[in-house]
Amino acid sequence: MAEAAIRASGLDIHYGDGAKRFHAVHGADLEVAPGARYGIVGGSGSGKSTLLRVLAGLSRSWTGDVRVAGMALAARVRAPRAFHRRVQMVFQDPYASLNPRHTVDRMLADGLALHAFADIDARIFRVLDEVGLGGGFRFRYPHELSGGQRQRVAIARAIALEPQILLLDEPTSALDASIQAEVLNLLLDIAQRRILTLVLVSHDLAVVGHVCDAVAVMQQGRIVERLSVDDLIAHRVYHPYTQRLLAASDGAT
Amino acid sequence: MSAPLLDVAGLSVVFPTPLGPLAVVRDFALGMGREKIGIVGESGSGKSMTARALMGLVRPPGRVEARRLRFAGIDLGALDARGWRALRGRRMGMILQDPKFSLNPVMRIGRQIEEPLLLHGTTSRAERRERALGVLEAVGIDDPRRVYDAFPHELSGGMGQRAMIAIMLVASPDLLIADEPTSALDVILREQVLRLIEDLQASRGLGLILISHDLPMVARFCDRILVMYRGRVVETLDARHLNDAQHPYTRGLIACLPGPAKRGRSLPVLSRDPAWERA
Repeated sequence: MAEAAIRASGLDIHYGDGAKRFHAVHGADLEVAPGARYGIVGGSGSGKSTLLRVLAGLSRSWTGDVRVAGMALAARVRAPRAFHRRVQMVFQDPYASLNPRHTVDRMLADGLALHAFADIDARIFRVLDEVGLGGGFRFRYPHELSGGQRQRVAIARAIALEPQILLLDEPTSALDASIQAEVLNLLLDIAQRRILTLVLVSHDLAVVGHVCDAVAVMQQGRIVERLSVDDLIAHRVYHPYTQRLLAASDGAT
Repeated sequence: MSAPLLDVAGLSVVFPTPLGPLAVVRDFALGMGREKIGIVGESGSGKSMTARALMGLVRPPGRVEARRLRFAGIDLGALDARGWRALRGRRMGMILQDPKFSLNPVMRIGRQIEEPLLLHGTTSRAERRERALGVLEAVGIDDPRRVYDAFPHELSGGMGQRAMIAIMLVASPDLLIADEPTSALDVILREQVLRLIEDLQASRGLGLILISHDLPMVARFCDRILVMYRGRVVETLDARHLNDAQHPYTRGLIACLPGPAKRGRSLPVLSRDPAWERA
């Protein structure tokens, strides 16, 4: 049995200091197999994005054991560069996650150069094709792109480094339904074409159910239930919070 | 009631551009009573601009034109700034997407709720306070006194949106326009806020216009739905019969939603037909 792509045990995450210290995630245990498509669902403030940031090596104030992509993360220490090559993240708001003063080319090239890739030009063309934009977008600035195109650039930037794990934080919740469909199709295409583990954080059960095979449900900083998407769709859920989430979303689907 | 609450025909909103005037809303028509109307469309479809035109909030150089634009018998086209001020906040109210941006960050919630009363002539301080606390309770806030004294940053997203709704309701308007009122909220809060708006609409007999990009959500809460595409209403639907939608755009919007039956499969995407933009 290969090593899990992600294994976190006893993960506690805090914000702030002293009296204002806030315990955002309590003792989370999580295991994601290589090649799995795993969802984390919950309401605002449930800690799901905070947890994802730790898995991405972007957060330092936590305790516990975390192994991601074969590397042990250490709290309070910056993750090594090699880690970020293996683990990439796409954020919710494509208007905020791209530098407005950089062209698409520069955004992609910087990452590739930092991680010492050769044939950067060819890679940029290939990855822009892969996300359905094409080389014509290479010298555009973010303000010249629609929300959906920006999210494609963010995905291109992430997969250009050929990561093993792609972490997605509400990647479609800022997009219109028809654009969401295009981006979900793209993500599923990429997951099938590449050897990639996906972790998708969302409050939208329909989106998570579409992309993932298993989910963890978070409420107020705790993982309250883990279940397969088959069980989620069949409403075989046990925790009252998961039932509330389902009831609220059923109205919505 | 004699006159309909809202009677609109041939409403257009036009902006000048270097390439000539651009109509971002074209030939909008709506006659409504104290019912729930949904306006659905993607970003850029003109749904929010329609709402702004109904509220008299289109700023120059934008221009509103209409063959008929009447609210409760009042000709909105003939109103001056003073006339609008007498209507807005008192007889028509608007709830926007994100309470973080639409509440005044340096004013206590209580003051913000009382402001419409103050502007529209409720003079007794004690009475204003009583009505503010009453409306906070009506929007389902358990602890009205604490929220009354709170600043917006001390409230969660759901509480902030309830406070917004309280501000809009305190003057007992006849028409409430809610522009993406739940898009910043998670699914559970979204349900709660929609139920609240629905209850208030029924108990106070408001006319409600709910604007959203979320077609299934609007279909659950409204009586009739107007589907907008590039500034034009392309289809008007009975909300109970969403699946009878005829227009390819509406059908495409429904088809592209993920659901258990399409799990893991490629979702249909919209192929936009230029003909949809022509009347």
